[in-house]
Amino acid sequence: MASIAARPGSPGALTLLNTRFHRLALNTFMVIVLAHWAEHLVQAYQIWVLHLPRPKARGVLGQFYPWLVSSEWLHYGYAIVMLIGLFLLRPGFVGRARLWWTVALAIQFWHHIEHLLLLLQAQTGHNLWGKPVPTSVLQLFYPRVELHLFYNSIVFIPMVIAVYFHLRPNYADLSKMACSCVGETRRDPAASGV
Amino acid sequence: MCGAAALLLIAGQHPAQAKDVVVASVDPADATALAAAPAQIVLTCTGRPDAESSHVSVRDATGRFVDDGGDLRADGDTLRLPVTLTGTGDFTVVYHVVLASGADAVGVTRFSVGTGVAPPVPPDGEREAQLASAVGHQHGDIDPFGATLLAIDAAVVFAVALLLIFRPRRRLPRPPTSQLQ
Repeated sequence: MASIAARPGSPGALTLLNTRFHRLALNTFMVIVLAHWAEHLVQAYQIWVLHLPRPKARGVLGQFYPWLVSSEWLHYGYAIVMLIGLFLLRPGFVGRARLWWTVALAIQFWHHIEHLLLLLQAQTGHNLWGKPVPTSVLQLFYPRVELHLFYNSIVFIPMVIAVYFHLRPNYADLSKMACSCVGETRRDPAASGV
Repeated sequence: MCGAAALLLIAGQHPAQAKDVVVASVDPADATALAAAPAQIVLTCTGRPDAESSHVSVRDATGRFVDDGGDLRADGDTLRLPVTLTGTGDFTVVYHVVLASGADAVGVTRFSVGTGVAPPVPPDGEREAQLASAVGHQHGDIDPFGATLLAIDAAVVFAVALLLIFRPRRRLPRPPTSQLQ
């Protein structure tokens, strides 16, 4: 796993990402994650409130680019962005936040493998297990839509908990943090008298 | 759960399931081998269809939706879905037609483009799954599993947002004066 330890002199990109730019990177990442959820909520609204047929309930992006919704590239793309983000931003987390972030990373790793299997089947035209459509491992036991909604949830929830512990660390974790998320509030200005 | 219930309702009935005949014909017809892709899917009904409540979708052999999102149009007793199909292969049309009288029917038809042979008859499980999706998954029924997950996710975000707002940041105690100098 990556480390934020850097050689003296010039900090590497990963070090900068997890120190000076951690707050910016984490905010950007969370915007992507929340935008993805917003798309799902819009879809739910379109289906359950507007009563659109499912093929026409494509969220916001899908209204302008209908092919995106049924594209395995879109689903794989989001899965790989999630995996990369969870991996690259992990070194900036410490203590309890790091534990929860690592849980999300581990689950997303498997989720990404499932999407990779789907993408490979769609690209090669050869489906696994003799199925008529691309099928991932756990899809053998659970329907696709529900399964991937479940995956997204069990990645999202520990990630949000990790962000909470990162932004509201206890004293032990706070003393170990080196990223910009701590900011100027790291030390109590009133107590320090400066 | 909805899917399972729908599956029970439709099991063993194809190409269309209905108490009364609702869809008289589908163009392209089932098990047709076409030389060129059709520009539209046309369903001729036995009464005036309700386009707002009906839906028709087209998938390729991989199960990917290939209809371009065009609106389903009602014209007299027919429903028309404009499509732009590219490439050759087998295509599946899944429909749920609702008439103004309230009668409805779901069905699946298949046709091929450019292959020279009619598409093979799909396994029972696949056809039933497609019919189930037409009944339960495409029609605005609230999926309890999905709704529960979304509600849990929203609750977590809400709770964390409240905690972030109302719980102040901790600050490290002041370091010894000697370290400040």
